[in-house]
Amino acid sequence: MALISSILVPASGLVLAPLLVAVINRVKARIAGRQGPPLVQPYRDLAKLLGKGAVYSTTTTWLFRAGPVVSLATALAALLIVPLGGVAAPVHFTGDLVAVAGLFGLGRFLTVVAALDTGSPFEGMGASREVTFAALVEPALFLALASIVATTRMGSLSSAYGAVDAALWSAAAPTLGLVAATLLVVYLVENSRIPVDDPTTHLELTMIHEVMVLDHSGVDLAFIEYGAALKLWLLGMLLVGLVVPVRTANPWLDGAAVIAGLAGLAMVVGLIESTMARLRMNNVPALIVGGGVLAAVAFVVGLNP
Amino acid sequence: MNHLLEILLALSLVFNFVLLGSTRIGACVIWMAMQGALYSLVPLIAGEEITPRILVLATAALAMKGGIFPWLLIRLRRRTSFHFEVEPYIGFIASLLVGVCLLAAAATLGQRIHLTAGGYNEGLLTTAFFTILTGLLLITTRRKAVMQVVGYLVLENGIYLFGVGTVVEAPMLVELGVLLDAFVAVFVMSIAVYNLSRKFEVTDVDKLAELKG
Amino acid sequence: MFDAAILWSVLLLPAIAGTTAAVWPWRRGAVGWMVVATVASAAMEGATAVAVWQGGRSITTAGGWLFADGLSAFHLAVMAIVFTLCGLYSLVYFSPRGDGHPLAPHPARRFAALWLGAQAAMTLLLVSNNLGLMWVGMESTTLLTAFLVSLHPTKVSLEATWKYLMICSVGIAFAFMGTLIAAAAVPEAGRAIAGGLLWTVMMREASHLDPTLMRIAFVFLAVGYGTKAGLAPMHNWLPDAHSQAPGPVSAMFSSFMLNAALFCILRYLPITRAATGTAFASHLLVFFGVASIVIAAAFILSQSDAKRLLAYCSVEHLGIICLAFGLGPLGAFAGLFHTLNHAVCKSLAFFSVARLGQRYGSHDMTILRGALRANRVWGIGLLASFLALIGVAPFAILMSELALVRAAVHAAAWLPLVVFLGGGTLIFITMLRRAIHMTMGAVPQGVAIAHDGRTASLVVWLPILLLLTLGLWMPQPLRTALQQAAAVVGGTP
Repeated sequence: MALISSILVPASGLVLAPLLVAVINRVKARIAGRQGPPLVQPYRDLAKLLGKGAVYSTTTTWLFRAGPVVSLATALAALLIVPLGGVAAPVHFTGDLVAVAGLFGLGRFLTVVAALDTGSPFEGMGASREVTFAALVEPALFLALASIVATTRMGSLSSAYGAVDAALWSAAAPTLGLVAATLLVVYLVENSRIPVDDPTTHLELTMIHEVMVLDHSGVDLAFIEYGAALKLWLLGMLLVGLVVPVRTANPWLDGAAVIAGLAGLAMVVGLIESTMARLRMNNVPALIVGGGVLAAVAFVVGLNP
Repeated sequence: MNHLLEILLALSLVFNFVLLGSTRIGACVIWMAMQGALYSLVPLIAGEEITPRILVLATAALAMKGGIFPWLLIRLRRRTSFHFEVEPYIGFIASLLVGVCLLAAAATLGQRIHLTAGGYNEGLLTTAFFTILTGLLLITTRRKAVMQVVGYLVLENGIYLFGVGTVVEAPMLVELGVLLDAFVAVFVMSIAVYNLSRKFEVTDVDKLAELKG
Repeated sequence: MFDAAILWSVLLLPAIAGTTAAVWPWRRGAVGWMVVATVASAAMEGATAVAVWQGGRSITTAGGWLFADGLSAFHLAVMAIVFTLCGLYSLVYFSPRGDGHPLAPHPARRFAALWLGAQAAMTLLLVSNNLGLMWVGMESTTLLTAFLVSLHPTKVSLEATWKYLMICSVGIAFAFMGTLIAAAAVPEAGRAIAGGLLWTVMMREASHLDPTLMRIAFVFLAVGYGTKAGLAPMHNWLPDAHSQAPGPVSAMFSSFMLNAALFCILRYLPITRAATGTAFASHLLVFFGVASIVIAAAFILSQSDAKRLLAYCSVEHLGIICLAFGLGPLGAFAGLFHTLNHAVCKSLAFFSVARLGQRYGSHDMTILRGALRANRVWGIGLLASFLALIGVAPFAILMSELALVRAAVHAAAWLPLVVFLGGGTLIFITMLRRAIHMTMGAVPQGVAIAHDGRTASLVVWLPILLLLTLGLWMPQPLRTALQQAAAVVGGTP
């Protein structure tokens, strides 16, 4: 039973992750008064891209090819560690939150390196911005996860999230609330959503993430798109697993609650993207540092039970 | 520990950071007032029973910190300056990061000091110390005179919280006197800023540098 | 009954007079009213002091909230002298005749109201037994005096007002923090009796106070009230405020307001000593004293503005007094005696410099020359006060400084003694040179020679005579009064 449920945690992510993208796009379209693409559109895009061949610039090296592969591989590896709310992931060990953050970092590193490898000034600019923001967002993510671990007094993410139930929420509401706020900021930043980055923008000068992958095509682009969808799912699990403290003994019920929560999160993101403008680039660090500060407050409040 | 109090304290910690990160004077005044209003509710929440004395004090503090102070300052800001920006000496992000360091310092201090009397908790002390330090940081790193008054009031907020947490049984006359003094202080500071701006069109503190040595 | 009458009247007299001045209905006479009221209040303060000395006990009323013991009595007496002198001097300074800066009706009313209000606030802090009330008195003093600094609103005077307000408000906020921590140091058992923060109760309970908390409290209090007392390194507001305020206000600030702030620290000194052992509080006071002397000496060396020079001189003397209180019972006696001498002498110095400044149109010491010719009385006042300030015999400041040296030797505090003597020597040389330059020689072009009336002579000669007398002979009642006050500081009233 436990084995099946823990295998289903990454499996659900593999299957449903592109759906999150579709939900966000659908919400945005509806608010803008459009019909919007069908919910299976991301799957169709992926299938189309996988059927195409990739074009490589002659100036690029193996690093350029390694970027998409590694970023997808790290997302897949992280999928094995991150729990789906109360349902434990197949892999868990003490301090695995460091491994998760490290995997994200590795994926980002290779994406950045691949972008620099093209020699395009636009991609270099995007890489520079990505790294700047990453340097600020990583401490925030660490502090947030560390606060959860410190509050629940559990070593691994799976056990810590397993301990986040309604009773803990009523006992440590400030800490968990602040951590949730931080994770929302991290979610928006890491997934390059508004108000940090606009995934639908068409002007290279204003892009961050999209500009780094301009030169990828075909299968590589499919890997990147799928990896991005997985990241949306992964960080969503970290946030929703905290905010939806449904911890019955039944893993099916718990898992379903979190997946429903993820759908809700996608709608919230769609709502944010529809109602907010993107921040000016030089104001973004303030947002990220602000998110980190919330985590710092959470950490301090968590230390004073 | 009282859950409501805990939520309130966490909220006010966040307010401190918002104060450090806000770019608008008007916003800072509002946040300062909301923090003050939160703190004036603390005696109602922390005490076991609500005596008339506590009720009177909380009402007075709420009226002052949540109503009169921000009203005075907003009016002052409107009259004195065409600029709404805070204009710090150190950037907002730097302020926030310094704030995190100060929070760490306050937490250390809050855990070190052990009050002999009951009715306190570490979270409250940490919050009070952090609010005081935030006030000092605002006073020392903001260029606009109005912001220095805001910083002073944040400092007062912190001290008020500390007082509520440590000596719940201080005589009422003294506490009301303290509130009144804070009121007069804001009033007097407002007049000073007003005079400065009207007669010399200066509300930047770094322009006040003719007296040296 | 007698106690109640005297304490309430000493408190209410300046307060009511100040309120009257605030609503003064006539165009003229506000300054005159202020002089009459301030001298009357001063007389009342003197009477209170005498009542305490005569009775040989502390008098108390209002359920123990108001009281006056030897220490308050001594400070009340100093206050009476300073306010009388300053009040009389205001007549000269704001006189419409000669070089005076007469006040328009509205500023005159404001000046009178704020001045008397400040007098009431300082009286409150001297006679309050409740330490919270004492704090209220100190804070009110700051707020009431802030606009005395910018009575003549210029850009620089408003700048000085702003610095004064901001720095002192923050300092006094720290003092309040200290007050709260001190209250938290009272054990649970003592609190029920205390009904708050009564000094007498805290003295009785002193040995039961939590030592760690009391230490923290004293640091906050010394820094907080020390800011207001102008102790280095929290002195930054002082030279600005003193140099920009009108003459009587500068004199009152320097001669009494700083001591009033120090008085608040003195109230806590015996409590802290009993709670934490003698060394801690004393070391802190010695540190502030030494720092003040060093910093004041450094700034006096390179000073060209006469009023700023005197302001730094106040930092030095407050440092000396603070140092003295850090040196045990002998030091306490010396410190209190020095408080009196400094108050009298510094009043005269500010009077002279401010009055001469009116005549010369500047306080710059390169312009301010030949004062003895330009205005004989004030020239004498300037010379005598400078000589007295640097400790020339036979003025009384030399006596109190010798007492301090004796206390330092007795306490084997060699390093502070060396700093005191070294700093004192530097200041002696600099200020002597300045005094000679300012008083001797020819009057600059364009400065007319004039003389002031009888009030001016009185305000100059009275302090000089007092300083000379005290330098040569200490009357027995004064010695007793000083010993009583020193006993309070020492914790054995």
